[in-house]
Amino acid sequence: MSKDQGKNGDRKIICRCEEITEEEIREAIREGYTTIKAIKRRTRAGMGLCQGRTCSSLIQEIIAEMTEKKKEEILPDTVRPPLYPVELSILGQEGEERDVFSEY
Amino acid sequence: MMIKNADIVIIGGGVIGCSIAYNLAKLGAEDIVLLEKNTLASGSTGRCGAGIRQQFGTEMNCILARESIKIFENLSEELDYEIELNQGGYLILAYTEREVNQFKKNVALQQSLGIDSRFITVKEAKEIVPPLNTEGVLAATFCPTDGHADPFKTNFAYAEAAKRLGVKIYTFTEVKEIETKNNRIVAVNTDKGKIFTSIVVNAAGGYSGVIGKMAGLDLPVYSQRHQILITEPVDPLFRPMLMSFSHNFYCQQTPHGSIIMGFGDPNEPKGYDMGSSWQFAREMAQKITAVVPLLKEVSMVRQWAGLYNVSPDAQPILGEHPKMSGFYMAIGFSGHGFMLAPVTSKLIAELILTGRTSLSIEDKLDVGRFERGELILEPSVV
Amino acid sequence: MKEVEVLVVGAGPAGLGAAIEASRYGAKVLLVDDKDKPGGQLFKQIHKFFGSKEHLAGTRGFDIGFYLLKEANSLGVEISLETKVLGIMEKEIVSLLVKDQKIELLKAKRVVLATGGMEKSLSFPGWTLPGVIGAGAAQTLVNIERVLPGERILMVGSGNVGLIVSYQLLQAGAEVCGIVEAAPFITGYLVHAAKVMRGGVPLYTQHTVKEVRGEKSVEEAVIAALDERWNPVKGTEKTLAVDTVCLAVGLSPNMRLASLAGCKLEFFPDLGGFLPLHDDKLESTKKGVYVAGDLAGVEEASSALDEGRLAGISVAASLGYINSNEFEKLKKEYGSRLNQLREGPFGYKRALAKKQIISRFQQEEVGGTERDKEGETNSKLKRYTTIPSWSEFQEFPGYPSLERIKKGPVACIECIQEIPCDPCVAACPFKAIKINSHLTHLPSLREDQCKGCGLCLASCPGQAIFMLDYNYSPDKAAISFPYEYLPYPKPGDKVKGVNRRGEPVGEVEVIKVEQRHAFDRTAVVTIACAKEFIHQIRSIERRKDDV
Repeated sequence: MSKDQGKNGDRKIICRCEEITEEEIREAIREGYTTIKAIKRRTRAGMGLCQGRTCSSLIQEIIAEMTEKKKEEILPDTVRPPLYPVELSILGQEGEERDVFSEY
Repeated sequence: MMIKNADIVIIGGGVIGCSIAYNLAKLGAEDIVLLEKNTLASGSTGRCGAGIRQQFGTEMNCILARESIKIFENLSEELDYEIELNQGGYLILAYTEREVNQFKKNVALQQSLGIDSRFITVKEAKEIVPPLNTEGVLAATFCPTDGHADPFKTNFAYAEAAKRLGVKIYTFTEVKEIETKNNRIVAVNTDKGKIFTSIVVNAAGGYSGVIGKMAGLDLPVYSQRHQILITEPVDPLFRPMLMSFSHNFYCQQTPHGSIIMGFGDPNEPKGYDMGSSWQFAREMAQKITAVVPLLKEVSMVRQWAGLYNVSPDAQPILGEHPKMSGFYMAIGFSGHGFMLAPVTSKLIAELILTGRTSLSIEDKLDVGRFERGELILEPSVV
Repeated sequence: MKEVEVLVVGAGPAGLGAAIEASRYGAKVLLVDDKDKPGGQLFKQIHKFFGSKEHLAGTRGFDIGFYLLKEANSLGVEISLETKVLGIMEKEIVSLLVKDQKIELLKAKRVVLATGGMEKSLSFPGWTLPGVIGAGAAQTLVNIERVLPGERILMVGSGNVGLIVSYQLLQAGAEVCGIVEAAPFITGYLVHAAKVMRGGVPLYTQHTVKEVRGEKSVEEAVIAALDERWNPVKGTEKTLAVDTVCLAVGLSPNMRLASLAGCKLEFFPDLGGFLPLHDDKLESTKKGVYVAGDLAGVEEASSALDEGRLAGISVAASLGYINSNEFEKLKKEYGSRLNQLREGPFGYKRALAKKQIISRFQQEEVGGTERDKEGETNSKLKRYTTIPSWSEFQEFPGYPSLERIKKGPVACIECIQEIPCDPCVAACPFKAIKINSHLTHLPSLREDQCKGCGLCLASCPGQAIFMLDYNYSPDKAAISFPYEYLPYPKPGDKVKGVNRRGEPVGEVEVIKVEQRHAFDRTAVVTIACAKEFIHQIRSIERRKDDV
């Protein structure tokens, strides 16, 4: 059973990919990890397959609620390539140069 | 509000700085302040490949690594924080006769120092890592007590333990200036205020050269980007860290299931660039799918880069600077900072507080060795 | 490395607009999109758009999509679908993953990023259960895949997306069991809310989803009222039997590629969150990288399209295809078209934020006086917790007087919020509907000029115009209204007339069901009812069987 089935009551998943709960995020903030990056390093939230697409703004909300920080001060995590997961066999291709506009 | 006086100011909130803070406090030092310009583990520690090995080619690196592993083995209990040490060994592949010879020498050295590494056949290597493509592999070395741990957790474990012992840690606090007088440290100026101190520990990793300049010192280190990538988590495939010096890569599966890998580009210029290049991802994928073809179907989810802080002999520089009293260094780890942190931090702490170390390093790892020309080059570096 | 002149990322309205304009002036454009079809969200938009003639107002979104694609194709834009941009890497090399199997690399002289928005999320216990989906996914399912995400749906969020998707779910035959809104008022356009409420959907303002439960997928949702501090009020919990919870809690700019490309991001809450700073030509802080559409601030499709066009024009100008005089002229023209869409109480905050982006780009702060002035505009926005009563509608200039109603058929415009829209004006052959100088001004009815022809009814994207015929027969009045639920009723059917909140008022008889080409698939249904209901009945109960 996943950590987040409704029956379990108040256990709320924030990062779905890594199954990090709201309580784990709050605990990290209480320990002093008050940026999205620091929380990622502390809890793994945002390190999964979707790379924080969903949880980033949820974590931002929680930080804003628990600290004095304004939302504009709670910066998103650094975006890293690739923007989509790529299989290593494809990644290893020499990478054709796209044939763009032969007349150009 | 930042405090104004400290006995010791440590610069850098990576695993080196935090472990030094912890060891100093453990030995009874007080008024220790650690300054980090970003968040803890935001530099090379949080970007590293997480490996811990003893299979080095110089006596000093071997000893340091051996002692480090001993500490790592009990670190979770010591710091009361699970660091996820996983001793699955390091399997290092030899592809050339030259490597075979070097590995034999290395293993002989390692065994003489009590490290349980051994020279093994291709067949044995395949048994240890079943998905290994043995094509071109001539032999390998394996050390079962090598492994990996979680760098973030290790970093935080040290930081939390240090805090419990009274160390003050200031994150998002950048050192701007180091004030000296008559070749002595006087104060550290930060963007949050000035701290008077007579002892500074340079644990600034990739930026240790910059810190050196602030104290008017030209340190014999340079920084160089090393790139790394990680895949989606998959079922357990192999336990050891896989490594090759001639193919120039390392690769391991984390307890979490993701596979992390990197290589050092010999053409990489010196500098502080931490961008991601397409060539790296491509070449890494080519290397690893050739060695572990099973990984072809696995997807990469992220790539990033960190800085190696490289010394002339690829061994760390530990100790006080001869030209600046009170300026201590734990720098130049050349990519091995995480794995050597537990022991080197202990040694530095001893050195600062007693002037002596429980392991003899002074004449081997001090900054003066380069001027003396006593270079023993570490041959086993990726 | 091969170099393309202009690379446009994202083939939604902004990307298409940019590609079309850059191409129109002579640039060679490669337009890439990760999906297998171009158009972005446009082809999911089966409703009629707001705006003015230049914005193709009154046209359904997917038709705008077809129109743009045709234009792009005729201008020679190369469109590469299923093409994901993996990154803009070191040395500005763009890496593309084509059809999930081929890597291609290229460089571009100019890049236009039109990567759109990402749906925001909301977390509550159970939100990871299957059956909790985003509104975008729900819209794809019903309007593209033509399957229902569920039978009984709870919508979270009363912004335009939540309201529009609710309406489309109703049209597709699902039951929308309620719309939950945390704010104490409806956050989207009232006309959109009116459509779903006429369809019988309850709207719970100042409510939240407390929990979603289910063994393997959603089986029920618990909602609760919120107090002033946004905390759930104990004892107000209500359990709804639903199989789907649809989240429409806003969009944020999809700034991932922009960030990777090195554009400086800043936070603009009124435009969805962190977005790339840009100048009035839409060029980001990264030279040669332009941004447009939801990425440059979440708005809607019409402004995305115009912003895209402006970005395309800027790119063409920067490449020397447009001389500076003409460029200034075009920039001004598109600037004012965009400003039109940002007028009124809904748009003013976006307009202000857009100005701030540009001034932040120039490292200047917006002066205090400007903010104050804009603050006054805000007071104009009246928020509604539900659909107002007849007497409130009567206060507005679109509602005919009682005297006029008694004289014969007349249009009744229940459009009481200042939104940028004017197709009704052009629809009236007798110039009986007037909108003053600004697109956002309320339509007023010149009731003496209205002949009761009913042409305006289907033209209104908000379905907010009705036809009232008090003297239909000695004892009956006739009411006409737009109707978009299948199956259509037939003349002679006896059905329940419903009021503005979807509550049955009385039995009525269908007397006419009109479908004209010009109505663009909106039927106009006329019913006869007791004269007393002329101000009450605004639709009929949807037929729930047989869908």
